[in-house]
Amino acid sequence: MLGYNGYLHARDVTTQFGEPVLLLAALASAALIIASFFYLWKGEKKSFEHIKKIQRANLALLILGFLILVWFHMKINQNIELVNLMTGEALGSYYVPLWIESEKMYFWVMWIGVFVYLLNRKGPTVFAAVSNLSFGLSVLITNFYSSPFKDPLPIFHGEISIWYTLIEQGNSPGAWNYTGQLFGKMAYFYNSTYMWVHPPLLFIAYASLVITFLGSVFMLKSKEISIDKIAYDHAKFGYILLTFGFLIGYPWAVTAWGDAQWWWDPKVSGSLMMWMFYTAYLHSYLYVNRTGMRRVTAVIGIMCFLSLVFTYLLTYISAGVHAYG
Amino acid sequence: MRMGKTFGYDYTLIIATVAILLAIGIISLYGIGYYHNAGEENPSWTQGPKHTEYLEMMNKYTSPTVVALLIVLGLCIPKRVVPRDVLKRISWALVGVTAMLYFIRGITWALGVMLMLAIAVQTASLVLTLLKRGRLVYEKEGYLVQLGSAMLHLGVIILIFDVALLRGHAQHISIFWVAMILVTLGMFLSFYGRTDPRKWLPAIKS
Repeated sequence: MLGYNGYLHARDVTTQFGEPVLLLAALASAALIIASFFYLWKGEKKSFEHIKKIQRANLALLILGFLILVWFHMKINQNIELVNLMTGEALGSYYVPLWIESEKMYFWVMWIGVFVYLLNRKGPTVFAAVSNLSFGLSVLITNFYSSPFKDPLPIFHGEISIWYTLIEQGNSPGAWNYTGQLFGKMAYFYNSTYMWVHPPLLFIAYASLVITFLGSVFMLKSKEISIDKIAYDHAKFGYILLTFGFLIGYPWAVTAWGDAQWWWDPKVSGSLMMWMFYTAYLHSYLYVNRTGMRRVTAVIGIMCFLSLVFTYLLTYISAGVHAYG
Repeated sequence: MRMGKTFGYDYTLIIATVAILLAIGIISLYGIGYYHNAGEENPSWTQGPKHTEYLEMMNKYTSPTVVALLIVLGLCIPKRVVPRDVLKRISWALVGVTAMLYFIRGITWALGVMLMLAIAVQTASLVLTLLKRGRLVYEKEGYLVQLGSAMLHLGVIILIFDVALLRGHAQHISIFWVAMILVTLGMFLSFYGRTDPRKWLPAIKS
């Protein structure tokens, strides 16, 4: 039936192979958390070697899981083709981005793993151990609350399944109308170039800014300039991607949503708030050596991250043009 | 305005910039709360006049902070190439003209003129930086860093101008791309302009 069975088979395979991979990554994360605690307790440089090895294995498993998702998305492209049911004309195949629905969190966490891996290469520090611990926790959260393998792409799956059901029932007018809706979403959302550029830039930025957050927390307690520098370097890198990612979304938003409707939408306001806070952080860091500014900068750095998490969650907790469901 | 000995001109400007940025962030947060509550009361409120009122309210709340940001930007970036006293006078004149226009022609005109003047000042600053004119401190900050900073701030002002006043104009998106290139390239140069490019190359073993 127009590739539906092939798609369903690919979806099952994704769950069959993906879930054990993520479970292994979760187990590795539990080991990473224990090893990080052990290092923080004993402070033995030798034990940091174990952290590095476990973290590498964990990251490799996440990359393997990501490759399974790539395969699944390729299968969607090969199997599902929207067709004009009246004329039989092909309307196009899906190019579903790899960072939507439950895959968002996974992609973000995988990139946190990349930044923690790079941090580990700089040598054993308390800060690196805390970063590994945070990475381990984020993998566990992903495994329990946002696994992309448990029910792959539930919204997309629901949409496609309704379409096939309508076709199977021979409900031509309903299927015809629904095809129009699906085609609109395919053209402006799934297959849009913007969706292949805007979200990944933001998630890579978010991952980099996790390190800035941890550095800001450290900044409140310790006065280690090296950690401040790490936090600032990650903020700069994240900020470039964040800004470019936001801006690249603008022309698309104007085309897809028109002018007024999406202005001051919660996600847009949240993104603006986050960008303003990070801009404030970068400016205040310029005078970090002045009396009291280290603490102020650290507090702003923490505010930045809270606004980031809040903005991320807005998609799920608030209405608006970015809302899911 | 006389700066205290403990603060200094640059530091005061940075503190003011940080305060304004945080204020815009907090206004945005207020907007999120308002939007959320309005949606809870009436899920289809975005289709009615209340949504238009909300958009107007948010624009009204952010306008003063945007004006303040433009003034601070006008005092901050060109200070490298224009004497501070001249800059202060230009800024006060800018505030006066904007206030006058606000009462005579309304906020759109006032903001438009202010933005155009700010673009002119920042463009002059960028050109002077490019030509290495003025009181530039290359040893301290580096040529590329200063160039990047000038590009970045000019890009931000063009962006505000374009998004605030040129929506619906035929060249809106083209101007947006120009601003975006300035912002991104400027940011890259500001952050990494001082970095030794050899750092990015793999180490060559002798």
